[in-house]
Amino acid sequence: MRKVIFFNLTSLDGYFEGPNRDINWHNVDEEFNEFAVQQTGEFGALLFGRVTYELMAGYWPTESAKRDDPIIAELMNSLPKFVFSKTLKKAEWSNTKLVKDGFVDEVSKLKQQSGKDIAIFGSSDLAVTLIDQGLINEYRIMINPIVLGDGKSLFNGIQNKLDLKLMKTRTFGNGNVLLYYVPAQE
Amino acid sequence: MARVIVGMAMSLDGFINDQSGSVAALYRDFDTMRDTEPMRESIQNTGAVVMGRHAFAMAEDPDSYADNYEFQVPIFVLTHEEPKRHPKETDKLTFTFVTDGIESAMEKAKTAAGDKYVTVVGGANTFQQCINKMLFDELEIDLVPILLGGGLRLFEHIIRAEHIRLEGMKVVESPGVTHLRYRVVKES
Repeated sequence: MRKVIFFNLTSLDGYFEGPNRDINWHNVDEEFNEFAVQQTGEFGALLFGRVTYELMAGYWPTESAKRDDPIIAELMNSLPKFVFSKTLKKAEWSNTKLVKDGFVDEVSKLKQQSGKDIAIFGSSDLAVTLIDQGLINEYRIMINPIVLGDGKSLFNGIQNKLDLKLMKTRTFGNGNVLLYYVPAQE
Repeated sequence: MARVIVGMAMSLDGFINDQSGSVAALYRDFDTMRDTEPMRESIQNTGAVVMGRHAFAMAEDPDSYADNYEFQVPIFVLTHEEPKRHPKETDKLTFTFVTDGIESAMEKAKTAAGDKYVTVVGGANTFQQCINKMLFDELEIDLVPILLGGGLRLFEHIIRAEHIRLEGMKVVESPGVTHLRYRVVKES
């Protein structure tokens, strides 16, 4: 069975975005880009909520993305993508399927298929739904060395406590710390 | 001059206790936590401790600090009112109750600490005052691998206009907790 892996960048105070959806504080550099290329290559499908989908769909197909990040742009544009939204009318980004309801069933079905693992980037509301359903098999949380003071908290709204087990950490030269966790009972 | 380090244990989703107020999920194995390398280092390098009133009151018997507390140093307790009876002290561990604010407590603690660290052990309110007033040089979060889904948020009530930039110092993995140590980048 394929794993679902949740990857996100956060501040030390646990926000994945600042006020007004600010993500300019993301601490990214050459080492991060190398990591992102390698990581994205591990995945066979991507899941998004509407907000993250719109952000990404507005960037990766553009000429500037193809010029600045050619490898990741190629991966992002060609990988099978699923956007989960009750309100989105259509999804025009290449290789994207719009799922309007039955999110949990759809993800369960995807996990049964053969292929590389499935990733969720950003998409915190969708992630919270999947966490509560026990559908996430791995968490990769990259803590940036900053205290934002305000913003939107990752994991906000989960209904149940969840014990995790730390598998490994990776410290980046720019102070980011990437923590790999799995649910403790797995 | 003593440097100030603030730190607390926190769940991966940012809480220092759960919705019922219990800290049990974050301190499952207290004896093991006391015996970690960062804790031994902290005990060795700490010259004075600052704690809030609630943190002080977490010991059922205040006299128990004298013999049992891991930090055998002068302790400065932030409070509005001194307790009626002064708790037991030793030749190393003394209590000073500071009623005129955190800046005053910090000044006294720095003098007592000499060239060692002032360690701020919490609770959340004291931690938040240190962050808001930038009364710290280093920050250590002991990140516990659990999602609590609710409770008291460590970084609540941060009212600074600017982000606080940090510089990663080190990451230490201990059983059941990841110590993330940062230095604050003070923009001049």
